[in-house]
Amino acid sequence: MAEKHPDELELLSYVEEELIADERRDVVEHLVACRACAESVRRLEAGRDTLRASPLLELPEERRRETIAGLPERRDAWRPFRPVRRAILVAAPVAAAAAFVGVFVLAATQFGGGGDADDGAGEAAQVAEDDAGGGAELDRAEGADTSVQTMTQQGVLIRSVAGPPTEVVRVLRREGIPAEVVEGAVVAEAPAGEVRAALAGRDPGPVEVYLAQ
Amino acid sequence: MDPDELLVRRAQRGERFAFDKLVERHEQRLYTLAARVLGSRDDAADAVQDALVRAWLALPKFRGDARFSTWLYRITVNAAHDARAKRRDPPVEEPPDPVDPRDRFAERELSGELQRALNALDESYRVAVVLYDVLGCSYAEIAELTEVPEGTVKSRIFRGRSELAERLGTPAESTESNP
Repeated sequence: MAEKHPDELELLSYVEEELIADERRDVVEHLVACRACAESVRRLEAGRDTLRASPLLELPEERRRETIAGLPERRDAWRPFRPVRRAILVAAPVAAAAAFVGVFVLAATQFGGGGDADDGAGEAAQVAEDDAGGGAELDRAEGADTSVQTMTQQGVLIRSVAGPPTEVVRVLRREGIPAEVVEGAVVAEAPAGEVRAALAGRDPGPVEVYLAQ
Repeated sequence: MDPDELLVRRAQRGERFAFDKLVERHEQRLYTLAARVLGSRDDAADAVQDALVRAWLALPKFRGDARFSTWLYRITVNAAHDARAKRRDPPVEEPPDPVDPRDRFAERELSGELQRALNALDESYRVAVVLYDVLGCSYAEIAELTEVPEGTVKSRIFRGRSELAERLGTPAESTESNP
C-alpha cells in the first residue's frame, strides 16, 4: 500500500475527473495498492450514479396555480398606466395655471396693462405651457383616448399590426409579455425590441401597439 | 448572463406574469429539492409555496450578484429547513390515492429506497448531494447558497454520497482494480 492516502477532497476530485494528469496518475497508483481508498471511490461513484439517475419531480399543477393566485400584493406592483396617469395628473394643473395666466395677460393687454409686467406674465405663460407639454395638447384632443394620446406624444408607438386587438394581446402574452387592450389599442409592458420580435410575423394593420412606460 | 435576467427585472417591477414564467422554469427543480430534503410530497409542496411567496416579496431587493436560480434554491433550502424544524414527527405516510398521476410518481419516488437512505443522512449532507448530483449546481453555487466554504461543500458531498452508498449497499468489489 502506498505511504500516504489521498484525502477525501482528492478522492472526490478524482471521481469528478477534476485532477490534472500527474495528480490523477498518483491517485490511480495508490488505488491499485490500497483497498480502503478503492472502496471509498466505489462508494462515491455508486452514490453519485444513484443520485444522478433519480428523476426530477413535478410540483402538482394545482399547488402551482394556488401559489401564483395567492401571491400577496406588493407595494411596487405593476399598474400598466401609472406613469401616464401621473403625467396627466401633473400636466392638468400646470395647463390650468397656464390658461389662467393667459387669460390674465389677455385682460391686461386689452385693459391697458403693459410694459415689464406684461412681458413677465407672457413668459410665465410660455413656461407653464412648456411644462405642461403633451398634457396641454391632450386637453384639446376631444374624445381621444387620453392615455394612448399621451404615449403617442412620448413616441412609444411600436407598431401597427393586423387585429383584432385581443388576438395581438394573446400573441404577446404567449411570448411572456404582459399586454392589455386599451380603447382598441394594445399596450405592452416589455422592452421595445422584445415586443417587435414577438410581433415580427404579424402583418401590418390598424391595431396600434404601444409600450407602457 | 443569467438566462432569467429579463424576466427577473420585469418581476421586480411587480409583474406577476413574469414571475409566473420564472416559476414555470424552476418549479420542478425547487420541488425536487424540497421533496428530497423533506421526504414528503405535501411538506415539499408547502415549502415550495412558502419559498415562492418569500421570493416574490424579496424580489425587489434581489441585486443579481448570484444567479436567480441559486437565489431561489437558497430560499427553498431555508423554507425546507423551517418546515422541518416545525415538523416534530418524522415524515408521515402519505394518502395512497392521489389524483394526479405525477403525484403517484412522486409518491413512489419518495417512499423508495433512495429517499429512505437520504432521510437518514445529516441534513447538510442531504442538501449538498441533492444540489450537486440531482440539480447539477457547482461547488461555488452550493457554497454561496449554504454559506460555507467550497472545501466544506466537497467534504459534505463526499460524506453524503459515501453514507448513501453504504446504506444502499455498494456494488460488489472488483478484483481487477484491487489484485
